[in-house]
Amino acid sequence: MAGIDLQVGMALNSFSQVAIISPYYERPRLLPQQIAAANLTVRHSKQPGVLSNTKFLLQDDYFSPSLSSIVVFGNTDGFGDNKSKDHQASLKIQEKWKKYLLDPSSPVDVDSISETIEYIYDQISTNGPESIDLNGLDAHKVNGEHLAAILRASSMWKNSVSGWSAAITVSFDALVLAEEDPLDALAGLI
Amino acid sequence: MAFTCAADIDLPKEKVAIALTGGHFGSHIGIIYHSVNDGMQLVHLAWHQLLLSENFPLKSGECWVASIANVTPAASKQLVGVVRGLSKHLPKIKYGVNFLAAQNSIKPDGSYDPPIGSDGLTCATFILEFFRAASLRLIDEETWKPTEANIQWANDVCDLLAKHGADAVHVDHVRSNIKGLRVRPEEVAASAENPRASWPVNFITAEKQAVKVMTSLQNICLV
Repeated sequence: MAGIDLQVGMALNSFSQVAIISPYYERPRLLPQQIAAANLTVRHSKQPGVLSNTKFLLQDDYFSPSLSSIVVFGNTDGFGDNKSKDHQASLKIQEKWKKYLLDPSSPVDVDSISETIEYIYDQISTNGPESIDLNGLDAHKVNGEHLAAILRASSMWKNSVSGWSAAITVSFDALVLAEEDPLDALAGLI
Repeated sequence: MAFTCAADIDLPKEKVAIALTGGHFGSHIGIIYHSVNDGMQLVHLAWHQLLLSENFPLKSGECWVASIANVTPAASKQLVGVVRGLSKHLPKIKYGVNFLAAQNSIKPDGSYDPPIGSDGLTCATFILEFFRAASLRLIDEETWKPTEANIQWANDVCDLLAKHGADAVHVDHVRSNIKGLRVRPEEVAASAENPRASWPVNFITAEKQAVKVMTSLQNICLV
């Protein structure tokens, strides 16, 4: 186990991504979200620029003695006031569209589906499609219909939405698990 | 499902219907859906920069026919979500004839962002773009054929634009795009009656089926 000072003051949440920059790797290596969540202990600073008390502890083979830095992106807690406010607003919108997404037993009536779509539009118009991250979703833990709705609502920006293509497969699998017809919910998307 | 009198339509909340009425250029088309709070609504591109979402049936008593779009249940719910989002914004959409250049003009979040070269949409191509914004391609535009009658129609559109609401630059732009191509409202309406699996519908099929749709409109509204 080893500790590394983080270079930027950010908090890790479920939609953050962690990259390792190391001479061992040709390019920054993305740490799978579940590994990041399991193996990183984060004490994050709320003060912009005060980073020394933010430390990641790594316990697996992603760590090597030559590791030079870790970059966490996807969450800007601890930065300037305006950025922080924008980010808080963004997080609130994310919470809204993830509400039904992250519960396989969510209602799938037209009003719930519309709600998810509406919040995706809010997220896109407020923070851009790049702010939507669909990486790391687990077919057993998402609602396939709501994910399909998110994919349809964001389909015009699919090249900007991180994890969009992979999420098609997740939605397909989640719909099969729920004994729904994936070719219905994903019509025109696959 | 055949086109019936729109005022009598039993439209489930999770479906959208394609609605058609008589219009200045033959017929006029829109989409009927249930909003969350305001009941049944009709969204339609009424004219240049005039996208409307109105309570339906309309107060004016105008006669429309309608048919529920033939979309599978889960996709249909998503379509309702998209039209609800679009109707919140009602962007100002130019009226124009070049539907090939106008593809992807409407973003699903309700914004209107026409590609370079687009001169706008008609009431019919607005519906196509709405479906496209939801990743559903209703017709195969590439199979549409130009006609002399369509050239006359496009010139009439330009004359009307010049008289009502459009600046000279826009009218010139539309006039420069007259190539005899047109997607008629009844062709869009007929296409949406086909099962989703047979979309995009080609010109020959749509043109043939459009005759039946116009007959319904004539029999129900224009007698």
